[in-house]
Amino acid sequence: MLVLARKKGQSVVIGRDIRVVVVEVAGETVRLGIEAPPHLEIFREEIYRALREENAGAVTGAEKVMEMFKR
Amino acid sequence: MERAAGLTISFPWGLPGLDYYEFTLSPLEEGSPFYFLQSTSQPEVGLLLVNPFAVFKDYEFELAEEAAGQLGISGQNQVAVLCTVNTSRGIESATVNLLAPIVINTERLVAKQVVLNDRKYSIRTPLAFRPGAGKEAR
Repeated sequence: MLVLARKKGQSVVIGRDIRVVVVEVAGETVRLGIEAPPHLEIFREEIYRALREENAGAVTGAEKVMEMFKR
Repeated sequence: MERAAGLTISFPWGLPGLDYYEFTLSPLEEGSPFYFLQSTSQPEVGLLLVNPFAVFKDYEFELAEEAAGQLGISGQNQVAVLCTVNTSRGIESATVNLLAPIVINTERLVAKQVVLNDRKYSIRTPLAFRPGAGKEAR
């Protein structure tokens, strides 16, 4: 992993279209500003992982759903 | 039970964890708050969805500008919101993902799962399950 030191207000450019700015540093927390093209989605990693797991776990079949709703 | 013909909706950003980008959306029954979202390429892949406002009376959120822009949404009359229902732990333990609702542009038939910045809603909110919910009120 590439590791770079940045100060508040400084940024990193990834490729042509992505810019990540350090907006604020307060104790243990760093606030980042991200500029990216709209076709890219940006997630907090732990939420992304939870969402992937939840969506995959929620997959069901039409027949199963029909069966549940018949009762 | 016969299902009504559905609307074909594209999910250009996909749904995290699933590799499908086009689905058919149809209500389970006329007037029901429940819907079925079925992959057009893989019909055995489906998700049970619910209109969150019909079952969680206090549910509300403001759609972030970025998401509204991505979906081309400019007004409330072109938006529909549905949430995934997870019945994998049994129908009596069904949960609803209120943290990341599926927001649909009903004019362009484009949708996206949006993670709310407001963290007060859970990815697994228990659903007091009544298959006929929403119908007896009419």
